[in-house]
Amino acid sequence: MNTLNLKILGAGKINPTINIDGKSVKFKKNEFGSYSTNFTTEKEQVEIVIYKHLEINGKLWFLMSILFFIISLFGLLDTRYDRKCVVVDCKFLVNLQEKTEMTIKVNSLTNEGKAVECTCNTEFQEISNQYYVDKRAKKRLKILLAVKIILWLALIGTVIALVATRS
Amino acid sequence: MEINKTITPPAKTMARLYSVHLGKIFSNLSIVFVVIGLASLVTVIATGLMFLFGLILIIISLGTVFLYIPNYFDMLLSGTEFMGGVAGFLNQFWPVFTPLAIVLAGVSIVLLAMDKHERHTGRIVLSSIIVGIAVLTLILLIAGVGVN
Repeated sequence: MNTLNLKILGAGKINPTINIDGKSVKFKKNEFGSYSTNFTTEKEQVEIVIYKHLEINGKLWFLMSILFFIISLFGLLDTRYDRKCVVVDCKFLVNLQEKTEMTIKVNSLTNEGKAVECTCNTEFQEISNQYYVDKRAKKRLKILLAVKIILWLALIGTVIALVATRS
Repeated sequence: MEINKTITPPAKTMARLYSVHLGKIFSNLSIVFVVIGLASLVTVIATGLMFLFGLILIIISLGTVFLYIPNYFDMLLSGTEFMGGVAGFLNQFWPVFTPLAIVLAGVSIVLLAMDKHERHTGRIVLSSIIVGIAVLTLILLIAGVGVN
């Protein structure tokens, strides 16, 4: 049985989804935004995926966004979407020993360079390790903004029409 | 670096993101609704306090206030009448908004507590306070404190 002791420092600032071998793993979190877990497996190698998903990238993004916009009284009480649309995309293949210690430090957001720094007492392979701005998500946010403006104008128009017909 | 690569999140992740979003909206809505419920209670109390302070001013000034403002008493009565009107208007809405605030705050607590990925302690505490205030307001309004 192999054990992977994984520590992720500074994960709280990006709040990513972390999967080990395709499974969602429960992490212990401390007040400084660091995550830690002990993963045990019979395998000799595991895949660690760190990814930050954006709500705007869902399949029902338009329908849900408009629904939330209407429920929140035309966006007055809505929470804001992440306008930067920054995605963290990291994937590692880690060779396991009986006790494997791995520490991943999340870097500050930069346009170039790695998203995380890794140290491990065994060999590991870095498949992807980057921050990037999701262009499609940005485009979707622009479409949403335009639709919301149109809906606001329609509401104002309806109110004016109602007031005019009553008086 | 801007890239055209988009990974569609899994359905489970999307359900989590949507439920957190809805929980936050419900929490915000419950704040507005509880304020409306409280307003109907507060305006009645404020009307009484306004009249009381008006009378105290007459006593403190030993009636000299009537020398400076001859129609002081009429002004005081019309002011309380206006406030009473506002309280009456708000009283129409509390039976709807106060229970709705309790329901929405309760649902938001459930939705936010279900998120195993991220803690929403601040929001959950806020919604719990809203539930407490709304229940207290409802009890006082049912007891007739805010009803004209």
